[in-house]
Amino acid sequence: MVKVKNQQRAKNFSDFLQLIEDEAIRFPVELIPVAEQTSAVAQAVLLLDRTLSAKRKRELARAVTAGCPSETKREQHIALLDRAGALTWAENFQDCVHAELARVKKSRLPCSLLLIRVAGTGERSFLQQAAATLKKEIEGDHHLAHFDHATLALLLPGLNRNRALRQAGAIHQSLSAAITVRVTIGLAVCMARAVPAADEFMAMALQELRKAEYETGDIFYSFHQQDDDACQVTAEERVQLFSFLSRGKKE
Amino acid sequence: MEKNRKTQIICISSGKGGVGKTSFTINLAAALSAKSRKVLLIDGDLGLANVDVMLGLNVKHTLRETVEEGRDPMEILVEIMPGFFVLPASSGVPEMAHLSYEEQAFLTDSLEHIVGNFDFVLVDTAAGVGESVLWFNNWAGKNITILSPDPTAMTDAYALIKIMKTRYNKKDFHLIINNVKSKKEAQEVFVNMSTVLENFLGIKPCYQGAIPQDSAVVMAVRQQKPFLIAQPKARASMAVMEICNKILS
Repeated sequence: MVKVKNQQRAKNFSDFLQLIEDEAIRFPVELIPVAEQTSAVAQAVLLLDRTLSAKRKRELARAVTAGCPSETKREQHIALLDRAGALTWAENFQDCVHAELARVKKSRLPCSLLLIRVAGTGERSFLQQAAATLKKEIEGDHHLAHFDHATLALLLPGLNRNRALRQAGAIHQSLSAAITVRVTIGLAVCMARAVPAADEFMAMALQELRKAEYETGDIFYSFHQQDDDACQVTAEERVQLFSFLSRGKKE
Repeated sequence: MEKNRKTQIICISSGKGGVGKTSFTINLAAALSAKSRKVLLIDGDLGLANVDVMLGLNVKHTLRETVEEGRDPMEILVEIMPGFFVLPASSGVPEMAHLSYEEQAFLTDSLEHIVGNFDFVLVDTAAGVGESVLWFNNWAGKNITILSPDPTAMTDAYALIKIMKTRYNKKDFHLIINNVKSKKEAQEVFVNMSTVLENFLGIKPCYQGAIPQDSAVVMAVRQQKPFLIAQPKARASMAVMEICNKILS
């Protein structure tokens, strides 16, 4: 549910949709205008949980549009909103990260955050080029946003360290082929056992991005590996735990 | 009920299953209530409860209703004997074994409202190191870990303590050695465990007592009665009374 402020500002349905879009962008939802096939004008809008799979979204969208009047005998179609020129910015993106981390706690599924920096002069145009390239690569439940004037942020729900690293490698490869400047990536992975605050999570990725910028190697990542391993019973501990049993046997 | 007592919340865990958590917890509750203390036993094995089975109860309501419907835990309470109350949990409900963060917080909040009615609240946790086990251990003011002289039980008890220390910085643990052949064996197990805990985790556990191997325990389980009630003079019963006195002192 998205609450639309200043409804009175909307003069027509198109304005109203715009207001919904303005509000929806702050939430982890996919905004899908529904239009008749022969018309570019949206007649309704679906707001779907962004973390749903693309297949599930299609199913839901079909189920909803199946209820539309059929007298027109024109097939309905779903048009995904083209966000090419309308990426969210960091302050709104932080809300998305916050919502996503809450979901990690609840679903126990990990999530990964990539910060992708495009270096060199004329960064703005390179960044737009990078965004356009990325849009073709990312999946429906991924969330792409501007982080700063030279950096894109990509939130990958459900991706663990290995999958996120593979994705980062693939992104780096395709961006390096598409644009001529250096591309560096900082990656942070959040596991359910240690969920940081949204700003902390973004800072983790930023720290890795800085490492990538100033050190050799274009991709750096941080992961709560140590926390996990810290609880593991080690071989040394086991040897000591069982030592009394071997003493008993000798006696 | 009289509220605002100085309630002591004790969590009883073991890591490994079948070490004797539920049996011990039921008998400790019976022992404390025999000493005129008001005791609440919470079945913390939320998805695979056993306390009701071991007490031969036919429960109508469980903690599942508190989590799912918001039912007041006071409406679920079952009085076993004067001063000994049980909050039963559900059995065969996987959802209850994997509560979300919000559900677990809601459950703890509901329990917080009633614990003030009792002198002692004992939580018999599930086996393993699942979220509910860690949650209840973190919630409790006192942590009792039960282990037996088996390597598996020792490893699992150690692993649980290690997790509680690493993640929640819990440092005070009370050990009970169950199913021992002699006091000497209990001492050996404790000293060994204590040495490893001190060497690797910097923890000095407290020796809470030991329970000897006793056929009275097996018989009481089959009779669905606390062995302390069924055979008060049995060696295991005497050992539990000793532990009870130690807790009270």
